[in-house]
Amino acid sequence: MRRSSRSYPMRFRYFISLASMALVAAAAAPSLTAKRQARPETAKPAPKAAEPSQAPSPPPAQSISGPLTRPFSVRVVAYEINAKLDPKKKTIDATETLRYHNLTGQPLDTFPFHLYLNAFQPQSTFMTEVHQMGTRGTDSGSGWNPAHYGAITVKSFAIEGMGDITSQIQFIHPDDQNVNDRTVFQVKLPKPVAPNDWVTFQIAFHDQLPEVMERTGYKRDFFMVGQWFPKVGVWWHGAWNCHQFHANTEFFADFGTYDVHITVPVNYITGAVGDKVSTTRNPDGTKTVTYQAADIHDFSWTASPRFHDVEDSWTGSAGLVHIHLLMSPGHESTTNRYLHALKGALSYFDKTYGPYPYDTITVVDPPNGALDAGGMEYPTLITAGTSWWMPKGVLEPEVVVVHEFGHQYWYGMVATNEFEDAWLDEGINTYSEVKVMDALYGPGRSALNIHGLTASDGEEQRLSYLSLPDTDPLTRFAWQYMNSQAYGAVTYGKTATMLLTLEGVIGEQTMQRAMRTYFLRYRFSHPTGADFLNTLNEVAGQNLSWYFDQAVSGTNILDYEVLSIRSSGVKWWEPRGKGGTLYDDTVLIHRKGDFVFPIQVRVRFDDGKIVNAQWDGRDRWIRFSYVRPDQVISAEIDPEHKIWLDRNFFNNSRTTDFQGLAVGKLAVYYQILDQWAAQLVAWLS
Amino acid sequence: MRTRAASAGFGLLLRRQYLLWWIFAVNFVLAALATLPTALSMAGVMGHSLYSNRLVTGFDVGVLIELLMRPQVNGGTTLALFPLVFLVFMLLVEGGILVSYRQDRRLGTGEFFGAGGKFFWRFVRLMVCMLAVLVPLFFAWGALSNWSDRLSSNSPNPYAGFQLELSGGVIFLLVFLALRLWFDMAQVRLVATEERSVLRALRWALGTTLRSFGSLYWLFLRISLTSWIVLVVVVWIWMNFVPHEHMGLSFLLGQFVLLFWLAARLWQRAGETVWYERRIETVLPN
Repeated sequence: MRRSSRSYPMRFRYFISLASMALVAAAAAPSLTAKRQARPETAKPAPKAAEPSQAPSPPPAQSISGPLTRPFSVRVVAYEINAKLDPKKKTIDATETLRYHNLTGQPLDTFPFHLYLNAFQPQSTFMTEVHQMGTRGTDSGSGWNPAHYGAITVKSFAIEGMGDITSQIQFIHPDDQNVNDRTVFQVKLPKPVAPNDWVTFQIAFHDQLPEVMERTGYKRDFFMVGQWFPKVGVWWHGAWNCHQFHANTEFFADFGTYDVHITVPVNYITGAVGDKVSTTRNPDGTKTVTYQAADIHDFSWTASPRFHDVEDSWTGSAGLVHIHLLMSPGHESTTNRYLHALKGALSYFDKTYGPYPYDTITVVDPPNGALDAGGMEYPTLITAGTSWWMPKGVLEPEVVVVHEFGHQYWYGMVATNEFEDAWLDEGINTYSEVKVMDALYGPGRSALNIHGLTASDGEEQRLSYLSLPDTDPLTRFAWQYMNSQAYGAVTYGKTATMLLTLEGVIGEQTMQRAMRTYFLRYRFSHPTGADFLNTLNEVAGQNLSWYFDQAVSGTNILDYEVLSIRSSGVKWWEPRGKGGTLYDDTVLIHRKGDFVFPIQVRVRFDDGKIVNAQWDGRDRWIRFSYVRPDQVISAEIDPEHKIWLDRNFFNNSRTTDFQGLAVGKLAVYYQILDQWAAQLVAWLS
Repeated sequence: MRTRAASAGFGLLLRRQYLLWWIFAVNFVLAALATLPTALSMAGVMGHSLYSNRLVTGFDVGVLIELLMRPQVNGGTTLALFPLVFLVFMLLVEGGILVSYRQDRRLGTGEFFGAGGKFFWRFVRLMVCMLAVLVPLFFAWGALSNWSDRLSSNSPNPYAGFQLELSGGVIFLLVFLALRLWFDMAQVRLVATEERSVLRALRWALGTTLRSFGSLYWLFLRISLTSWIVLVVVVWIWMNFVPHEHMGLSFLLGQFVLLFWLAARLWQRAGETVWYERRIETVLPN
C-alpha cells in the first residue's frame, strides 16, 4: 500500500490450462520448465482452474541460479469462488470452495479464517484503532460514518466428508481482548486433517461493501472489491498466524490458485487479479467473467461501467506482459504517465532484481471521490490514483504506480508477513521505489519538478522518517506502533532511509546484488527479517549487525555535526602576515546522537586543497588538527551525502564564510509574500 | 471635455504619488523588519552550512522543509503580525490620503496625520461593519466549499466540484469587490461631509452605489482586473525567464508587483474621490 544482472536464460509461461495443470499435478518427478507464450487476445473457453500441486513434498524455495519452474510456489490453497455483485445494494453473494493442503507435517483439526470486511464496524479493533490514532484518509477522533459500514457474513460452512459445521464457527481475538471484533473466526473439525492430506471447505457468504475506505468498497457505480472472502490463515513457524485486522496492518496468506467467477451487470467493465479466461452473458442482463491465477496469495477485483480499458504490453526477460489500464473518466491526461511509470518499473525490477513471471498486470485508476481505493497492491493488480488537474511536475501518480508495482516483488512474490514485518514489504518496496523514481525521472527531482521547484522521492522518505525518528524500531508489529503516523514514518520512511544509508556503506553494486539475491532466493515464500538481514550480510561479505542493531532493531538517532573550524597561527604571538606563516587548523566533530557510524570528513583549505579524514564515530567527539601554510575554510561530514539517516544535514558542514545567498533568497521570498499578505489584509480598512 | 473618473483618478494618483511611495516604503520597511527574525534564525541554521547551496541554484523544496522542521527556525510570529500592523497603519493614514486626493494638494505632515487621526475611529467602525457584513459571506463560502467537496466526491462528473468552486469563487470575489466599493464610498462620504455617523454614511453610500452601480463598479473592477493581469504576467515572466539564482531580479519583479498593487488600490481611491466630486457635489448644494 502506498501511504503508500543476470539475465534469466529460460523464459517461462504463466497461463493456466489443463495441460500444464496435469503436468504439474503429476510432478512427483522434477517439475518441467514451461515457456511463456503470449495470451490470445480474445477470451478463450474457460479451462479448469489450475489445481494445487499434488506432490507429496512441496518444492523448496526457488533456486536462485536455475530457471523458474512451475509451480512457482508451494501451493497450499486452491480457491474457487462464484460471486454475484448487486450494484444497487452494494452487496455480494458468493460461494467459496477452498481446498487446503496440509503441509504442516502434523495433523490439523483447527482452522482460522479472516473476515476482513467485518473491520468496518464501529466496535471492531480496526475502527477503534482508526478512531484512536487515525489511518490514511481518516483522522484520529473522527466520528463514525454509517456509510463506511461493511460486513461479511458466513451463511454456511461445510467440510467435504464431515458435514455442515456452521454452528461451530467461533470468533477469536488473538491480538487483543476485543470481543466485538469479528475479523477472525476459527472452526474445529470433527476429525483432524492428516499431514499431507487435503481438506475441502464449502462456504457460502454475503458481503456488504462499505463506501470506499481503506482500499475496499464502492463509490457510486465503482467497486473495488478487496479482502472480501473468507481467507484461511497461514501455518507459519509451527502455529497458525491469523491476526485480526488492525488500522495499520495489511495481509498475509498462503500461495495457491484462484478460480473466480464474477457476475456483474452486462455493461460493467471488470478487472481482477490474474487472467480473464472467459465471459458469459446471462439471460438476466448480467454477465459472468472468469479469472484464474496461480502462485499468488490474494484475489481482488474491480468493476465499473465507466472504466476505459487501455491495453498495452511490455516484454521483459520472462516474456510478454499484457497491461490493462482501467482509467476513470476525467483522468485521460494521466494515461501515458501511468504507462511510462509502469513500464519503467517493470524494466527496472526485471533488470535489477529478477523477472516478473506473470503474463499480466492490471492498473486500476479509481474515479474521483474514490481515492481511498487507490495506492494498493494485489498480485498482478494494483490501484493507482490521480486527479484531473494533476500537474505534470507533481509526480505522485508515477510514484504510486511505481510503488504499487514494486509490491509485486516485495509482497506479491517475496510474501513476507505484513502484520508482523511491515518493513519488509512496505519499507524495502519504498527503497526500491526511490531507486526506480530516481532512475526514471532523475535524482533530485523524482517527486516534484515544477519550474525549478524540485524534490526527490528519497528526500520525501527521509523527511517522513525525520518527523518521528525514534519512536519505534522497524521490527515492531504493525499494530503496535505508537500511532498511525509513526507506523508510516518508520515502516516506509525510515526503512527506505536505512537502506539508502546501507547502500552508502556497502556500495550500490553490492546492494543491488544483495537485493537480487534476496528476491531470487525467497520469491514465492514467506521469509523473515532475519532472512533479509542474513542475505545482506552474506552478499556484502561482512557482518553488518553493528548497523542493523542500531538502525533496524534500535531507535538510536544518527546525528554528527561539525562543531567548529578554526585556524590560528602556529606562532600566534607573532604579528600576522609575516612571511611563511604556518597555521594550526582544527576541525572539531561532535556525535550528537547515540547512533555510532563511521564517517568521512572533507576539509578544504583556502589554497583549494582538500584533505579527507576518516573517523569510526565511536567517541563523542574528535578533533582533526593540521599544521599548514593555509587556513581551513570548510569542513563537511559525509561529503557524498550517503548517510541518509543523519537527522540534520545542515550541521554536517561548516564554512568560515557566511553562506548568505540561500538565506537572502528565502528572506526575499518571505518578505514579498508578507508584503502582499499585508496589502490583502489592508483591503479590510 | 472632462476625462473619465478612472483616467482622472489615475492623474490624481500620479500628481499625489508621494503618497504611493511613502506607503510603499512603510509596507517594505515593516515587512523587512518582520522578516528579519525569521531570516536571522534561518541564518543561524544554514548561514555556515554547505547544504544551503541546494536552495541557491534551483529550489530544493525538501531542503526548505527540513529547514522549517528545525526547532531553531523562528516560526514567523512577526511575519504573521505584520499584516495586522499594516492594517492599523492604513486605517490611520486613509483619512489623510482621501483628504489629500479631495483637495488635490500635498498635505503637510501634521495636516496629513491630523486628518488621519480625525477619521481613524470612524474608519475603524466602518471596518467592523464591513466584517459584520462579511461574516455571512464567509459562512456562505464555507457552505459552498463543502458542497463543492461533496460534489467532487460524489458526482460522476469529475469536474463538477471544481466548476462549482470556481464559479462560486468568482461570484464571491465580485460580491466582495462590490462590498468594498460600498465601504469605500462611505469613507469618501465621511471625508467629504465630515459626518460623524458611520451608519448614515453607510446608508447613503449603499443608495448611491446601487443607483450608480454600473459606472462605479466598472471604475472599481477594471482597476482590480489590471492589477491581477499584471500579477499573472509578472509571475509568468518570473517562472519562465528568471533563473532561481538571480535573486536581484526576483526581488525587483516582486517589488514591482507590490508597488503596482498598492498603486491600483490608491487609484481606486482617487477614482472614487473624483467620481464623488463630479457626480455628487455638483448636484448637491454646498
